[in-house]
Amino acid sequence: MQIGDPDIRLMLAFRDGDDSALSDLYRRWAGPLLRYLERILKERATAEEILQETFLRVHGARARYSPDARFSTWLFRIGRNLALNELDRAHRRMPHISIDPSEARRSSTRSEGPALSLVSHEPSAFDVLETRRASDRMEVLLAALPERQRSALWLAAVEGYAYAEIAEILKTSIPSIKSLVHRARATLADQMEEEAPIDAEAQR
Amino acid sequence: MNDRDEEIISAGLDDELEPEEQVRLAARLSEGGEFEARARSFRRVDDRLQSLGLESISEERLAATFARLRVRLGLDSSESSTDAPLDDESDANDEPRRGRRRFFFAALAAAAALLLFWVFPTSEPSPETPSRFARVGDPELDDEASMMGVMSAIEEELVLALGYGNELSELNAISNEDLDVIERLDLLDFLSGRRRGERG
Repeated sequence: MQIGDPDIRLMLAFRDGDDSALSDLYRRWAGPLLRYLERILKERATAEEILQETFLRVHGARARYSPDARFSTWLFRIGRNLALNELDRAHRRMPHISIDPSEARRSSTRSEGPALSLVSHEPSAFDVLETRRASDRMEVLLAALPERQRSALWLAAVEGYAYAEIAEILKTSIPSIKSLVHRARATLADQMEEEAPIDAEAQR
Repeated sequence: MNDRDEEIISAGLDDELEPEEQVRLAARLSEGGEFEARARSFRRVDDRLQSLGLESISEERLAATFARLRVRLGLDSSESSTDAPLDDESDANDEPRRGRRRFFFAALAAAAALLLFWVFPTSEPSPETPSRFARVGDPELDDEASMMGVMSAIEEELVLALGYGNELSELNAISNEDLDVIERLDLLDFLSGRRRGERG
């Protein structure tokens, strides 16, 4: 691993006692990690808890840190493991209440403004509604995928991780990631086609 | 369309193909048909996903989570400032506490100064000043040393009165709740007044 990598530099500084480096690492990675954790956990509050827990683990493990892999790969792996443990615990406690994206958006709007802030160029109200509807639907379809497919696809298509890094995070092989990503994409594509064959045709 | 074809399209979207595979993929796509249609549908999936990925997570939310993390790490002692922005989070989180502490130390200094003024009414001792109050050395340093001595004595009393015992190594560790008590009961006035009485 490149010692010049800013994350590794920060983590080494943090390991050597510079507490402010944790704040910088958090600033760089909390957003992407929280988005990912929300996709695994489907609950905002729990995702925030796991985000904290992940950085607590980073704090606890700092003395043992060595830059063998990208910091973010390590971070996401810790986060995912914690999230899966939490899902397991929650599953044993009681039936999980899944999030309805539109409800999540309403509650988010109450507390901190709109949950979705899509990059756009002055879209019309209709465009905004359509985008929201499509995003809500995608959240539902994504949530229905098996966790490993969901994680693999999210990390590849959204976070831009290489298959090798995703294999590190999910503790599996690169061919397995290739297959997980492909199956996830194919399932979502099939469902989108089934739901909106006319829309899809129109776009061709 | 078989799984192998789909896997190639998928890996192509993720830029995970070898150069020669990339060339073959481009050739297949240029032929159109089912292969190209499937690639389009995969692309639409990615577009939707990426729009979810653009979902902004507000700075306030991240900052609040970070503030809770700092409490759990023992870097902050309360969650009173969880709404502070992440930038300058340590300064912003500490501001209300520091404001109160500034007030506290100012009040402590004022109490000590009042006491010193009462004991040493002028900066230069008058010829009538009793010999036990005669000044030696640098008067400014003496004033400062006296003030520090008085402040330290009042601090000690406060620490004992508030029940911290020997555990309190520095006054900064006094809790906000106790600062409230100090303010409400005018403890500084009380203690400096009592010391005036002792000296008188």
